[in-house]
Amino acid sequence: MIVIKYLSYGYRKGQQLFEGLNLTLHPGKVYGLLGRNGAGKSSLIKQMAGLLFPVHGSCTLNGREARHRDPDMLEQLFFIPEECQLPPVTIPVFLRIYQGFYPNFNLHQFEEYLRIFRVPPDSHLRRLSFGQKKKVYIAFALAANTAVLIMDEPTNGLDIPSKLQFRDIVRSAGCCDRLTIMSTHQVKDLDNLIDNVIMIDQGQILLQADKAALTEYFSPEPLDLEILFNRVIDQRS
Amino acid sequence: MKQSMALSFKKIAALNRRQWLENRQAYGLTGLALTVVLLLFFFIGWHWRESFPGAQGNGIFLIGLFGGGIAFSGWLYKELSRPADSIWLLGLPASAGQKILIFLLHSIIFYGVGFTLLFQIVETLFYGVVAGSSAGVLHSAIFENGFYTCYLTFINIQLWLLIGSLSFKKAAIIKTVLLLLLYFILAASGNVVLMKMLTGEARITSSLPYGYFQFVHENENIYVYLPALAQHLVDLLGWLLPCFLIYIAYLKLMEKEITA
Repeated sequence: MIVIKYLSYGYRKGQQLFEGLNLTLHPGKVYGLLGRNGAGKSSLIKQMAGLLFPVHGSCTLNGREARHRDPDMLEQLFFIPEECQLPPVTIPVFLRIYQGFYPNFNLHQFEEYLRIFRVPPDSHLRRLSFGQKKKVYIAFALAANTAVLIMDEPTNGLDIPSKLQFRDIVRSAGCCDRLTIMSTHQVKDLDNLIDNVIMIDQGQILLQADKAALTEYFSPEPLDLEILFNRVIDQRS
Repeated sequence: MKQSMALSFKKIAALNRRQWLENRQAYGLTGLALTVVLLLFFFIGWHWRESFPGAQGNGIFLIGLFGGGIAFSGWLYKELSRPADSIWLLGLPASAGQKILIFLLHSIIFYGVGFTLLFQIVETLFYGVVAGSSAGVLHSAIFENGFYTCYLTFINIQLWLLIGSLSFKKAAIIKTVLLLLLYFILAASGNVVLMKMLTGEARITSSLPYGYFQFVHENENIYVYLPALAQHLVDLLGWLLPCFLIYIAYLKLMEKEITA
């Protein structure tokens, strides 16, 4: 579970991005963090990953302060940034180095995800394209079976077939107690994966709701997250 | 307690394996480049041996230890300056202390020991095979007359570079080296100016803070050192400085944020 309490943060003094933000995210759900470019999505998920520190308030991950980045917390967390950087080694060497850091890592799952993504399992990471590197990153993150998985714009850099593969993989990898957060400004890419929608703009949460409840609310009209998102943003401005 | 110690060593071993497996090619090339540069320096020193009297070997050793050490650290610490690399490093399930320890092992112990061994081998080979026994006087004496205290300076510089890499976002190594040079210039020349101002003595020509000062008296250079006890205290602080710098580096890594 991720609990954010009265979180305030700003990149510069006098320029607050978040002010007294509260948010609770529960295990077993896939959260979609939606917002325009510069809305504060990346900053918020970096707070959750312990890569940015609150000026005031707290952000805890299963009871541990994210900012402390203690090894027990890091074993429960995998963060996929928008820009993926992987070491210049082959995939087998990459596995030899990193799988030991994650106690629940499942090699079989990793190989299966690579197969679905059509990435040769003995590739050299240096020779892979940006999109293929991202696929390896995603495959490893999912196979690490951490309690919390955070993805920043996961579909950026993926071509259309890969986006479909990504959706299939994330859906198949969903386990009952994993908390997944995906931030995006391309709502359509992740529409079918999300259980709960968080809309954010200018550092404020404009809406947080279960997708099922939203679907019911808009029934008989089909729920279109992109239209809903634009409507919420328009209302605000 | 025993189990957590074992786990800690396991993590350190895993981080060390990571460092080695990801960079073994670069380590090999570094060794090769150092060998070639050392051979070149030995050749230059031997060829112009009449023009460069004195401890040539020691000079070459210092250039390799400090120059090579700075270049090696610049490459090793780049992981701390690039946001994408830093995210990967900070997210690895290991403590900040364990991660710092790996940087210290590689930039100080492995480079320091590795370079010393390589230097000894290349020097022995060069003078043994190329220059012949007549070049005996050109041999270095790095473990004599307290010369080995240069290792302490080397350790401190490597630690400052680590702190610089954790502090500056861009061109961290260049900025840190410039700051260190500025410090040495200010410390040496500033101290002379300060001493002249305080004492009104214009004949002071050089000095080092917490070290000595030199003045000219009847055309002779006179050196004035600290009293023995004060010098021992300064030396002790000098040996404690690395521990202090390691602690700062640890805190900087603990507090590192990815703002880009």
